Amino acid sequence: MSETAGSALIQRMRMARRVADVLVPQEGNVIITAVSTGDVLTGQSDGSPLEADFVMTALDLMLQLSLLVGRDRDALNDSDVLATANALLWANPQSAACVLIADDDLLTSRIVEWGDRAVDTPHSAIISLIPRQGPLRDTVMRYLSTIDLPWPEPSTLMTSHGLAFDQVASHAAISALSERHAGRKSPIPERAQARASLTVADAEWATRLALTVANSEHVDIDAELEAGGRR
Amino acid sequence: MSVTQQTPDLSGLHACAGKCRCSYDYGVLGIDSSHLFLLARSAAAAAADSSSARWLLDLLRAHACAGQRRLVTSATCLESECFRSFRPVADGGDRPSLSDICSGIEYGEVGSIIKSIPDGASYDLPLKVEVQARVLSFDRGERSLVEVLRDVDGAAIVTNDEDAFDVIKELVETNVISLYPMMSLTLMESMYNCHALTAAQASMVCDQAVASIEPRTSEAKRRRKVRQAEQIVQRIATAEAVQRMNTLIHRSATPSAGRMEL
Repeated sequence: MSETAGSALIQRMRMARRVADVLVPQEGNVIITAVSTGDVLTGQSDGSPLEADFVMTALDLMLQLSLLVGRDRDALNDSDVLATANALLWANPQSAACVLIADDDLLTSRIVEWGDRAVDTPHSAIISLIPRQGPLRDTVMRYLSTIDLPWPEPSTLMTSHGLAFDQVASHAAISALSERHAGRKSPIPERAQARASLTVADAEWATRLALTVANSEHVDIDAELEAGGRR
Repeated sequence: MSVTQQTPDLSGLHACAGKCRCSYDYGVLGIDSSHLFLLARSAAAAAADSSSARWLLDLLRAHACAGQRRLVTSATCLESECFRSFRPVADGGDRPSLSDICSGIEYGEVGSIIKSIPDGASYDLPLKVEVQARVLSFDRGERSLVEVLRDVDGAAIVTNDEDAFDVIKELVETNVISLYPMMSLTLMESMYNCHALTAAQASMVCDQAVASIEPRTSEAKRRRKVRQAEQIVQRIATAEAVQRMNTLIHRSATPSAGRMEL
């Protein structure tokens, strides 16, 4: 059969399968779904503008994936194709970008954001260092990672900096105590008396508070001041 | 799901829309026995005994898409599975034939619309196919039909069997065969959209597809079929309502109708 709607459908089925094989399994919060609820992807009607074959979502980011069945990577920079990709984004304003997928061995893809044209530098507007064109999975996952960052579990100050924090805190508290003692010749008698009353116990108290904060534990400073009679 | 019982209006049938979405340029449509049985049950449910055969033949002719495609099946599907009197049933089971469902229908009548192609005794295609971690049987009827259509340039195949559909789709996607698979109900909706079927005919087939689900069918498969049938019936009902509304508006707005009635 020559190039007919029928043979294009079979080509589309095979390409859709390759795309699904490349994108599945998904990582993190990424979900990919076929746009059509039909038995197979039939794509756009003759003469209609580009339509999405798959939709990919990561948290609240949505991408429209369009298969350029039977077309090589040159089509990714074709001004007509980019214009229809823009039209697709206008029709789906909730989407951040359209992913055009060429029908080559690598499934070379291009991320098209609002207003992108053929002459644009092929880099993302979100982070300019992210390449917007390349093998499908790589390109899409890198783009998504700018939004859906794989944040590590937050660590405490003590573990993240590898400091001997208890020693540092203790040293800082004793230094502060010494400074207060040195400055006790205040012209205001009450202040001089207060400074003179500071002892090692106060330095230990300050050290304990600093360590509690460094361990990411909550400190009720008002309660602490009331309990120690330091207000 | 409810389907309105109507006397079928056969006028204007068999004329696909200009941009046909039911044949997709496929010059050949392979029909398996599950689809034929579905059509027969629909015909029997829609018409009295005496006219059910005519209903079935009308449904079959509509599949030709105004003569744009040839209808074919395998000898195994038509003779062995649909008209068991031609060959004894291999497993000795008590399966009905099309004649039991649509009284009076004869092999020759069906054969005059669908060409039966002789198939060999052995097939190259696998008996079992793995589809998404499930191992599915590729039944003899569908296997024989795929085999006879394998070398046909530009053929689609329609089945009412989800497993057969999944197996054929898998074989297409993995470049083993190049046939375009269609589920029965999908084809019915496309034919309705092309005006090859009336709303009553398409809805009746949807209704029967659900009513005739085997009790042993898995829950997942049952849900898949019911959901598809409901969606199609709903879309058909919506399309009909819109069409009627447009007709009313058009009538009200035409000068001959006097002033526009609101």
